[in-house]
Amino acid sequence: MRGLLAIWGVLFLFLGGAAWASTSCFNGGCHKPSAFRGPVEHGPVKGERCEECHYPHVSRYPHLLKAQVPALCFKCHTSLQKSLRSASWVHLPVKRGACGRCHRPHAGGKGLLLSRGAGLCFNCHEGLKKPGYKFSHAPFRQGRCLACHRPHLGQTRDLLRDQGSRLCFRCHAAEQTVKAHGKYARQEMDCLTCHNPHGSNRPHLVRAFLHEPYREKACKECHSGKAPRGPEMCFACHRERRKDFLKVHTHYLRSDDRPFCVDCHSPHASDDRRLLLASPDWLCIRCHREALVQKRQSLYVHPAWGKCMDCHEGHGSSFGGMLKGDANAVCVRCHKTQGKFTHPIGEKVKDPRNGQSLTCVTCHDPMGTQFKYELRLSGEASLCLECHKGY
Amino acid sequence: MSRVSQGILILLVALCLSGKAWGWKRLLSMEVGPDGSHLLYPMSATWEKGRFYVVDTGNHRLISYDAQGKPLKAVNPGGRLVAPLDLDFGPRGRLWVVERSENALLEIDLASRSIRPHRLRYRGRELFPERLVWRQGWLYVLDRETGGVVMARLEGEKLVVKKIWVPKVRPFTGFLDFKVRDDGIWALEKTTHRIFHLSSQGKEEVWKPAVGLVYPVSLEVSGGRIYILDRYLRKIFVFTLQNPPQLLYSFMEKGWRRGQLYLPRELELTPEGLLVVDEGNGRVEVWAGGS
Repeated sequence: MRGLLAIWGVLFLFLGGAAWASTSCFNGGCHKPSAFRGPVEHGPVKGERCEECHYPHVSRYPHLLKAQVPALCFKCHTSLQKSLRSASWVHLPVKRGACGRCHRPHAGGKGLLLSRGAGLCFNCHEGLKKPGYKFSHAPFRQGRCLACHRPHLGQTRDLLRDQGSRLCFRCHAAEQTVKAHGKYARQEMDCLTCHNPHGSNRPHLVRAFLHEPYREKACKECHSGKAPRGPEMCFACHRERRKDFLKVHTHYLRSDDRPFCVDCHSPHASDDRRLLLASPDWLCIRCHREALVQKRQSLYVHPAWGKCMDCHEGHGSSFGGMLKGDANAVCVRCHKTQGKFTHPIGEKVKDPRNGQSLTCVTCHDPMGTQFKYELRLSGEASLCLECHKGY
Repeated sequence: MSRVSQGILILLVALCLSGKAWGWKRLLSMEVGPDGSHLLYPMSATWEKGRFYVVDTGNHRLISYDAQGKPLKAVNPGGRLVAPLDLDFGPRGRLWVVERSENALLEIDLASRSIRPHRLRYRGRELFPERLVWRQGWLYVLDRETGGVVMARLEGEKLVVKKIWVPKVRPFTGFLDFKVRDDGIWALEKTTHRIFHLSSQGKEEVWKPAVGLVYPVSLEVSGGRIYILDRYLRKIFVFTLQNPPQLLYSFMEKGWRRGQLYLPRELELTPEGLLVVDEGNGRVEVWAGGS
């Protein structure tokens, strides 16, 4: 008799346990099946396997989840997790494990996305919402961001599906496109150095500001055997800029066949008055990944973070960190009150820890810290006690 | 085992492990000149015949120290030093300095008080020197124009560039630092954090340390170890000298006091120990005793 009861018990546990998901969740009147249905259904939902993600009774996580997101998602989406490990650039919500910022967990449209088209992307990328271009690129106009960008990871910071002109040649026939640009164009050139892929007020999506020789169609000023090689090509006209590079801290970079200047500047067209290839928060971060790391590890960051050129020189400086002046002068341009009334600073006030002159950056780190006002240590006491031992 | 005993055990294990990594001991700090004024943005330091020499870039001077770190003499020969970046001693005991404001190498004869500037050119291109080292009659220069290491020799009074080592791999962003050793040249590439080795036989190798370096700026190679200085993390990472290098440990920490780093720039191994140049703290320290 006892043996029979034990067998019945085991059978009940197995059958009942397996059946709870499909029966209890929807049939008990608590979770309406219609709320979990849509054009595309998440695999476990479709198979009514609620238990793959949820516990029935208690859990340490919200919604009775079995684990935290994204660990829970990566239990099945292993290939995505694997590729994230080796990716050069990862979309920020993915990096933060916020799968729910873009995807629904149960059912929805294609890719279980929260909404269709560019609307979802514009939730974060607000600046692209109403750019007011006279001419716009068809995929951008139609809200097909994923035609050019990857949603999770990529080789470039803008998560493009391919690098350089290869991406453009997916739609624009390579040979014809290059031919239309005259004899200097080559297939390996990056279209984005002259064209804005979203839109522009100029025809053919050419960017807003033009380099003078390009505007005057004086191509031979640079594209000729007689033109100087390396940065001397640029210094031939921009003579004053050469002096910038003769300072202690400089951005003098390696020149290959082209002058290094084109690492940061477009020789033809740009949306920036200085003909920068991108806005400084993108351009500078290509090399200065440490600034991005610091920002992401900080709770407090200077509001002008990303406007690098507000405080830093682009070519060369005699001051540490390639600042536009000494660390007091740079800050006082905006923080005028602190320039007149503050903790003693200046050349004659020395930091007892290292004998260096006290400046704003002795106590503040505008690139980001864990403390309010970008203080390097807690302003409650520990920062002051660094020097004022007696207190 | 009681919780107290467990705690003591954990503490002992931690002490043993940290003892292994922290075998390094600060021997001395050089932070003032002979006149008592503090260094300002020192960019480089070296050791020669029992003395340390520091390039005090912000104060436009070179300072010598004895083996105990006592400042001996500060010079700015002919007032020519405006933005000195690096120095070394060349043939006939002459002092060679990278002077950025002239984009030249200054050959300084301290005895006769003469200065000869050398501008580097190679195949019609003007080069842009950053660091230099003399070794066995050859001058090696880190050149920012090509991103490579220039090899030059003195022919009479003239400095002639014989060749430039620019790695064959592409893309290549240029070197940030290099060291010349018996087995060839070791160099650190900017941004990618790759380490390049050019053997004496001309064989080129590319190594990449498998740890989360953020902003490595200088390297040193010695005793089967690779030392990498990370300016952002304010640490020196010690790797095995094998491909790929395996991380053994790291030491140093961020701070403004002696024994700490703020904006470090250069590492150089000397018979006295590991020289660490900290531009941000205006200090050069010597560390020794590490494994």
